[in-house]
Amino acid sequence: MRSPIREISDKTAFRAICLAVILVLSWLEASVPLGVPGVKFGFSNLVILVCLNVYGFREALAMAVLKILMSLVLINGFSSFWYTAAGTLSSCLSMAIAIRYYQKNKISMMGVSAIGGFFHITSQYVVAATTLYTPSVFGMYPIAALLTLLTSIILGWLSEKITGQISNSYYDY
Amino acid sequence: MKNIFGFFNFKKGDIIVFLVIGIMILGSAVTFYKKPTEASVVRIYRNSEEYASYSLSQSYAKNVHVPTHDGPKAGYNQLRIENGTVTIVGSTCPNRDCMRMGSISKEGDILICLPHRLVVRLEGGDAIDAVSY
Repeated sequence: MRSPIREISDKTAFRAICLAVILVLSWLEASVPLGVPGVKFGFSNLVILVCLNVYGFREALAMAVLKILMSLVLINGFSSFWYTAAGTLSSCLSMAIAIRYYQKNKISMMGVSAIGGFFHITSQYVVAATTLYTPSVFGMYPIAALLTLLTSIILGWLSEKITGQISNSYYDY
Repeated sequence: MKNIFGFFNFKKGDIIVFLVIGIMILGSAVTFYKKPTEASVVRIYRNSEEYASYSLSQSYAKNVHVPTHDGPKAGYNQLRIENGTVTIVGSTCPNRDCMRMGSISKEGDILICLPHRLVVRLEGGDAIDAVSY
């Protein structure tokens, strides 16, 4: 049996590892353009997805908030703060609702991830249209959303695999 | 260990999710689609206010330097207007997505640089009110 202190330190270490992975992945994916400007692969959301699946909504929300703050301080600066905040929070919340249907075995992680990706890209375009006072930003929206759908299906598939591995290694020791 | 080697095992609810999202994307594509027509004016907006506008014709070529704000230590976007197309050829923004957006030539097309809050929009109609300087 593990002591409560061990429990807490495990959790802290786990959060730190997750945050480090998020930061490295979001730095890496910034250098992998996908053809449509503004669309990235979204590896950092993979971590949030796995957290949501394995450790629940509170951990995932903590990861999302920390990701927003860290990308503000370390990666992007204030210019893209609202895009990151809107995208990450809306996708995290929508996936938190969608994952209940995953736990009821109604949809797979691909569906959950697709919902999250859709909310992510849509909220970012809404933010862009409102902050730039330019509705014609939406001219590029359909192709960006389609690409996001494809990448988020791949991410959902990956997260299902990773979840299997983590829950094997974490709960058994 | 639940099927680690199973490939893409979709459930029934996924079909509904993908269908709804697909219909939304299709609907947005239909809503936002515009028939491409030749543009005649290029308007450059910086911080949501108009910075400059130029006429866009085949015979007109110009390099435009747009600083992010007035004063020292400003970043910039470098625009190239040539043969009826506009391209962002240089920028000091971090990820340079604006330079990857390529050239635009049709009415309603836009180039955006999000970090610099720069919007370049092509408009049709009369080129008379466009200032070429």
